[in-house]
Amino acid sequence: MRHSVSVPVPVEDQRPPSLLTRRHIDTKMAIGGVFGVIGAHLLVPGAIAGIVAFLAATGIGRTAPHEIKEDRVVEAKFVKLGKPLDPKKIPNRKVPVKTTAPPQGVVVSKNMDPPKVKKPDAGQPPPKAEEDLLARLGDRAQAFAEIAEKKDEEGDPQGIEGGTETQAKAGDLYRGQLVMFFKRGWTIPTTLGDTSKLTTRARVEITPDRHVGPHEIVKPSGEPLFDQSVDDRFNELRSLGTTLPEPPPEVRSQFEGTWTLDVNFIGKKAD
Amino acid sequence: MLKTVLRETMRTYPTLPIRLLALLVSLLSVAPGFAFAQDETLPGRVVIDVDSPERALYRIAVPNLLGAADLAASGGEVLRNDFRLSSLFQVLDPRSFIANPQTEGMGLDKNAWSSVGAQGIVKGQVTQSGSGITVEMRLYELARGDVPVLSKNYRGDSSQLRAFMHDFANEVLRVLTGKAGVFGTHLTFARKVGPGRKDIYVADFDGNKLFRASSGRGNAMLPTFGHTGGVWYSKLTDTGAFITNTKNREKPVIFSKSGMNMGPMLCNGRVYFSSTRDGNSEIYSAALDGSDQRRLTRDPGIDVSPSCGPGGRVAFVSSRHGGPQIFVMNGDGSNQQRVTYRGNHNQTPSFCPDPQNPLIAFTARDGGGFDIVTINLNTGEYKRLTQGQGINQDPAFSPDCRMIAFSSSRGGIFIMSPDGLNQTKVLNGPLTTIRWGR
Repeated sequence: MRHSVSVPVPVEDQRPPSLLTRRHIDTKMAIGGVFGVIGAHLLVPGAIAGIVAFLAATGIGRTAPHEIKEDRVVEAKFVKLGKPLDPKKIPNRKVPVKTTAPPQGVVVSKNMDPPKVKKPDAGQPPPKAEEDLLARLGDRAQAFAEIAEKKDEEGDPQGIEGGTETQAKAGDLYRGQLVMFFKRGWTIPTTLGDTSKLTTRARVEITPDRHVGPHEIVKPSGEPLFDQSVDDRFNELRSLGTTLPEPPPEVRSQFEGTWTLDVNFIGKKAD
Repeated sequence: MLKTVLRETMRTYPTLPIRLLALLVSLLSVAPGFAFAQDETLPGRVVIDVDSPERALYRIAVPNLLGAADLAASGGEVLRNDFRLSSLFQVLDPRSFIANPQTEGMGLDKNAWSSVGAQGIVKGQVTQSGSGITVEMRLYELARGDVPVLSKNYRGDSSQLRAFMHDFANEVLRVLTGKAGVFGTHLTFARKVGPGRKDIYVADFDGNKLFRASSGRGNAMLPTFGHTGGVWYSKLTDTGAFITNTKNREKPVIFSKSGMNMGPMLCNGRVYFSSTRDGNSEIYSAALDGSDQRRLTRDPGIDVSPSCGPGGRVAFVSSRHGGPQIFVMNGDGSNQQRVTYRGNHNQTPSFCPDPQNPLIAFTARDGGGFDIVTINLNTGEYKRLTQGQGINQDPAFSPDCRMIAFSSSRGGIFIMSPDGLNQTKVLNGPLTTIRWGR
């Protein structure tokens, strides 16, 4: 004997689903959709913005500011090699040597000017030089075409447009020369105690002929004597008419005309 | 209701959670950039950092005081000499001054002083009435404007002018460095006055006001200053040597039936000295009246020359490891440690009294001569202060450790900086075993 249980099934569910059948949207679905759109486009970004504002205000998740990488310029000194000192002997006396270099521009030697080297004569033009004119004109046209064509560039977005690695190294080298230029002869008085936390920022104008122009202390250190030492250094450079070192050809274009230089005079490692 | 809304929203926008997550990540990643954008330097400006400045002597101008001519000139000279000896100042030559003292008075013509390179200017005026004087002193610093950074008035006898000037110089150092100077302090030393005879003398640190402190009879040596004035020293007799002081008029304070009692040094409220009473030279201490004598060292080597340091420590010389070397110990004789390992003959230690400056100056024999050397107790660094300048010995630190006095075969007592620079003779003659006191 067979028993069967009949379950009532709605008529629409007995039909096979068809993609052609238009989907019915009732009121609840419409309201839900509207609220969903509002929630997605307004409430959620608002909540995220709130979270971000909260994090920024409280400092949660903030990483410590990156230390500025210093470009150290190391003064190389040549030492005469000799026998190592006997560790059991009393060391010799070291007397600090005073700087005896004359101010720049003062002639101390008859042979101060470098010997004049006679430039070699270019000589006769190479054979068939005139015959290559057309080829060279073609090369130049190609060069102009390459310049006109905008290419994707990679590199540091803070860098110089079209700058190269060679240029960057030359710039670093020149920065080092500028550091030594201002450091040499900068002295602070013996009466000042610990100066390791003192920094004076000065802004100086460099004239087109690379002379030190007017300067101003834009951020004093709080110790007038320390700031005075910076003033004295600039005044000395101006009064002597000392010229800045010549920039390397790779970066010369950046230091043409009148330009401004910010110098941080830092009291650490005072000797 | 909310469940239904969310379900329908997810059905309508199935990729919404991923989009929201991506938006959140991107916003969080740029947040720190917003927070620290203000720290970035301006593009296009060349900025360089210059550090490691060299030290240069502070350029100070000290014109003669205004007023009574003799006193004014001598007052100015006392100040200039103090500043020169301190090794901190370059005292500008008064002949280079262009300021007009009559029109300037006690004020300041900034341009006139700045053009001669002065950083600080000391001005003074002395008024005499009978034997009394009134002195008005001022210190200006050009970097701080034309208002004096230090003003002080003195009133007293004209014989006190030197003391007034020393005091003002000390105040100048206090204002400029945060630590007062020790101008006006004193030196005591032994002076050879004949074959086998020495006397004890005292003088101002700059060589002025020299006077004999011992009786002038017998052989007095190895002096030091007492806690409350007076000078302690050793006196040789036919049978040995005893320790006495000027307050007891050369009566023995520390003595023994036999042996030599020598080289007194006062610290920790007691007298430290060396004695051979037990057959071998050892370090002892005693109360100031000579009682409560305690032996502090016990070894077969020779222990001599106690010298007091900060924290109650005592430096001394011992030959327990062979040649004489410098050792330190606590005031009660404990924790004896050797500190010098270079050189084979080191003697006459002098502690720097400043606890922040753990230095001992001593005499080191190198070759045939003697020279002054310092050792840093923390780093073990040796610094030779004299070389090729004759025989130099018996160093004594000033109470502020800014100067060292020493005896030299160049003919007297010299003062120099702790770097061995600015060696200046302050006293002439065959003078040895120096101590510096207040």
